[in-house]
Amino acid sequence: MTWHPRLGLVLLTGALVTLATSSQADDAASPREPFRRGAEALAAGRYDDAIAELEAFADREAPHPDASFDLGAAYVLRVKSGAERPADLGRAAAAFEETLLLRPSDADARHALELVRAEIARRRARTGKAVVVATPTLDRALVGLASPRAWSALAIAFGWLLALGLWLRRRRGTAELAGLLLAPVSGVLLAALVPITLWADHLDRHRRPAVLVAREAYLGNEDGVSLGGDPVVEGAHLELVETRGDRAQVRYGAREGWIPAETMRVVRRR
Amino acid sequence: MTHVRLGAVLAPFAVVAFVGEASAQNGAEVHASVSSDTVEVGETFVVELSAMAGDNVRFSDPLLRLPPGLRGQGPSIGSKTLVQMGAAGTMFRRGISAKWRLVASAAGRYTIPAPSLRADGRTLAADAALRVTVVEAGQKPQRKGGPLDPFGMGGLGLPSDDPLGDFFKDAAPKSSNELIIDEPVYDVDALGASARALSLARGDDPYLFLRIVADKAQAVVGEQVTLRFYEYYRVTNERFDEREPNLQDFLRVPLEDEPGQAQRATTAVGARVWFVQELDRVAVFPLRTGALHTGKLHAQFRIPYLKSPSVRRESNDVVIDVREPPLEKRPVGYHVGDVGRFELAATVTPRETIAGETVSVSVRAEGRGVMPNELKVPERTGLEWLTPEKRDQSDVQSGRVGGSRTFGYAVRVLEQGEVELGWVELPYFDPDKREYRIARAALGKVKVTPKAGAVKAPEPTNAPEGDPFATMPKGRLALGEFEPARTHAPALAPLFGWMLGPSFAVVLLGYARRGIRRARERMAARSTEPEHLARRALGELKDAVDAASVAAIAERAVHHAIEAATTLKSRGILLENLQRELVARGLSGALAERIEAVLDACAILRFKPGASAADAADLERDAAALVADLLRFETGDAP
Repeated sequence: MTWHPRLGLVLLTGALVTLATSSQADDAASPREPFRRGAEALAAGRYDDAIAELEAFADREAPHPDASFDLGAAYVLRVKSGAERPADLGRAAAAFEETLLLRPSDADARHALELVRAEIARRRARTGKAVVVATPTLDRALVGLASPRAWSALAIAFGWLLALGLWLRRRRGTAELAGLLLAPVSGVLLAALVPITLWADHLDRHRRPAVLVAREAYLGNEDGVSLGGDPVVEGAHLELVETRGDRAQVRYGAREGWIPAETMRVVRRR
Repeated sequence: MTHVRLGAVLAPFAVVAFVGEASAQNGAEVHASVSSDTVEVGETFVVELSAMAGDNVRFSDPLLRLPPGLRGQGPSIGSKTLVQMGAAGTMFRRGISAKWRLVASAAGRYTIPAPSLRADGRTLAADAALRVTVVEAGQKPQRKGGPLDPFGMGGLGLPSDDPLGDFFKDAAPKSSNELIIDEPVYDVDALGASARALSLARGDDPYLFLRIVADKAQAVVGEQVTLRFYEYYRVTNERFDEREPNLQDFLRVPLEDEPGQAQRATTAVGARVWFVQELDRVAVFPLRTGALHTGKLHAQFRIPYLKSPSVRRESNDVVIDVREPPLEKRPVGYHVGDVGRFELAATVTPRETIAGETVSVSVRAEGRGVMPNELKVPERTGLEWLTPEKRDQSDVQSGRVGGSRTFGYAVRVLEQGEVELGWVELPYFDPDKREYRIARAALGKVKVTPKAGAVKAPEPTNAPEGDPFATMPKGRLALGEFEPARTHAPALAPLFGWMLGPSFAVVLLGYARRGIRRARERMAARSTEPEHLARRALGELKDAVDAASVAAIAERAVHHAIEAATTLKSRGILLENLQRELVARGLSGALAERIEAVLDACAILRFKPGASAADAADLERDAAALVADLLRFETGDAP
């Protein structure tokens, strides 16, 4: 067989073209493609495009902290560019909250969220409105110290320590003394940890974090009648109890009430 | 001055000369005024000193120095509270009002030095003296009072529904200072409606007392309650050192420019004729919910009839039940306290502007009630509402407080094109109809043209040093490693299994070990029981090799059975005594005889040489039957 260099060159070129086309087709079908386009648009200063792509990515794919961060950054940069749309800061806060929920160690997201909340507060102060941020109630603050899985692991550990203490009590000498101390201490801690674990698990399974994405909203009853009190401010952290039609029951600090569902955005965890 | 002609004293308040505002000390404001700049010789006029300051300033020792030719009484001191509600919150200002009643003894022009008072130890004075022109009697038209009015309460013109008519003409007392009315009311129905409304079944005092009457006992926060202060009396008196109720939970708005000018009325107290003088009428607005006390009205009186220096009286304390307006159908944005009836009107100027510039939006809230502190403005992106300036104009019509408040907003428009500003709203509660209403004013559109050369939205005013997002971290170009954390706790059953399983296992193991140990102990204990030994001995009988062994084993079985049945250890008892002992322990005589016979047979068979197997079998049978009977006795089935 005679080797033709020109034919080899043509075949090689054809193979490369085929490979490149195939690769592009793969990219186009890749679920991460909207993110890539969104990140590029964000870097290029096309914030509307970035938001559209990243929102599309968020709709289709499981949440990812980096995608959520870019979405929040896109909203913030749109505000900064002067092309702000209603509730951009609230949506940015929701995106950064999502990033932190998925990756609690993300320092950039924490800093960005602080900037957004500070700007919201500054704007309200400028219009003479009070900036009242409801703090979570004691049970939420306690339960929020760790994940339900961590609470359950702690409870299990103290369950085993209780068993060890009970077993040591039947021994003689130092072991018995250790058992006499260990059993009641671990029993009390276990008794405290069981309800905390159950409550944390209940909240984790039945409540969802959310953020207000309107300038402000007043809590009302199921019929929409205001309950009074300070309004919920943009970017405020909410606890979504349930949604019914176009209304959502939320908890804000120690207060519960209904707001229009469109005024809040659920923060995804998984 | 023998008595105070209240009507004459308070009538000339129409001319009030404010002579200046004193310098402030700790924010204190001191005003002095005179009720009339022209009075007659002998006519009473009033100099009033009022001082207001912040909540923590205490006023005392009001002082008025009189020039020769003027004499007076006082001061009567009242307290004032002013509540200012603004964007920075609610601010309370408190103060006092001191009044002197003066009379000139000669015509001329008088200059009264500026009155002063002490504020937290420092002396504050009004910054201008007061000037009064005194003319001879008769040169100035008299408004009220007359020579035959012994009470000096507005002349003889009793109300039209006064059943006494010219009562005092006929009374003709020698000294009007000591007059006392002691007339029964023969027909209460003959009194007019207003007199009947003021009548009382019983008075708090036989001569005079003070009374506060509220027009309603229940109200909502912010709703007007009208209080009337009355003096009921039937003797001539001179009132001084009058102190109003503190009204600390209310916003107080005076309804009378000249308090005390209402005509005296006659009424019935305890079926006797009394006079009633309305001293003042004020509108109060509750500031919070609860059972709110108005406080008591205090005053001192000189009563010539009683020949005593002075008496002090205090009124009743009215309690108003104050609640929030109903939650039902409460509109969004309603502020508690916005009660009344209001209308809004808005003007926007100019209608054309440049992006980033401001337009002026003036919204006038007008109506009845305390003016609202805040309006609901249409907040949306592209519009920035700056803190409004407020201008008030209060008004009292038919005893209802009202007026207007104008909110002047500067609105920065950041969008371009035809910008719809939206509506300004004021949700309020109408206490008459007991329902919520919303007053609205449309703002219309503003045409906004782009700023020349601008590509960026202008920075808002008061923005803190530049870009608030200057330190915003950059976006991420790629998705980093991320493994979703599992946050759920395990399912309940495994969770409780892992938590409590080990402890249960330890506890169960402990119980199991204890049970086994007890079973063993029970078994060990049973092996030494007489019943068990007796049955075991019976079992050994089958394995006995000879008659002597049978006899020995049978004897042992019987003795164990006796012990099981009676707890009697029978081995140590002589056979001839055994029967008696057994009967004493409750066995029947027949059974005791059988026992003795079997034991006797055992003794014979044990030492009988050449005893036959038949003898041994007989003994074995008898012993087995006896043991069985004895063991039944133990269980209560005595043979």
